[in-house]
Amino acid sequence: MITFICGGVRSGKTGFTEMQMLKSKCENLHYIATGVATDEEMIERVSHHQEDRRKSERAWLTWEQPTKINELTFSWEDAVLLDCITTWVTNKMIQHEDLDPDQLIDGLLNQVEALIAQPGEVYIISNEVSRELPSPFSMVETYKYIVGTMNQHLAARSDQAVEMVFGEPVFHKEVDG
Amino acid sequence: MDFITGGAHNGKLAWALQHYEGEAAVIRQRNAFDKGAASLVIVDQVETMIGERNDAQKFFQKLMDWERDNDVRQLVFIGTDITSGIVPMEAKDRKWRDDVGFQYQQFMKDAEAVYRIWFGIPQQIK
Repeated sequence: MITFICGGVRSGKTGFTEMQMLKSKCENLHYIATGVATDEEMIERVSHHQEDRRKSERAWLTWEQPTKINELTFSWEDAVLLDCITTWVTNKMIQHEDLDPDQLIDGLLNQVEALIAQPGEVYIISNEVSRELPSPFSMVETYKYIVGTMNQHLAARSDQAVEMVFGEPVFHKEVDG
Repeated sequence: MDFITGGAHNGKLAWALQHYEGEAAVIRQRNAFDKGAASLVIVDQVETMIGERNDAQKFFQKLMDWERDNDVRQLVFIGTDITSGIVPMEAKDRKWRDDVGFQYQQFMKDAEAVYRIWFGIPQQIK
């Protein structure tokens, strides 16, 4: 089962998803962190999420994987959380600066498909970056195009699609039970 | 008239072309409106028109009058939601954002149906 979760900053995306996963029948819970802690603010955000998982009623395995998410191997007994698409896209854009956006998207989709194929349950978090004025910087617009295309693909591919609105989940696609 | 909104790169036009059957005339930016065109007219990226055309409101009104003249005609406005995010530095961008917000409120009132597209998935809000 694939669940796609998207929303603004501090909308409770990670908290909501972790709560869902605690109810999972899968034996193992995995957390793939794509964010790279490069400054104090990011370190603070990362340790806040780490602390939440440490206090959790179930054990979590954390994988720090800023780019190669397809190099991780999972089985049907695993429930996997990918947090998040937006930092992953940032890292991949920096890594492949010369690539055409559509070529980059093709590569990203292949990696996502490889990840989705393995575990019993997959939860993928992304961010809302599409509802503001166009940026005068072309790189920002390219970024929004890539993230938007990935989000559309994930929404279509998912069994559950959830928009987080200030802590409340709005289900655009829902699985019974 | 129906109004479709949602963020950028959310698949709004693709959804509209699938949802409304029949051949659509898609109008963008400064394209003129050809009166002899199809009975389904989709006006895409209205936010750009609101920002660039002084006659945007008159243009929208002309299209709504055209639709009203014949029952088989269907008019669809598609507008990207550019109203969130931080307040822009430039006064002209702040005005653009305000104008878009006001115009979308008007579309919400005038429309028979309103859809918000969330990454390809429609949510009917009117």
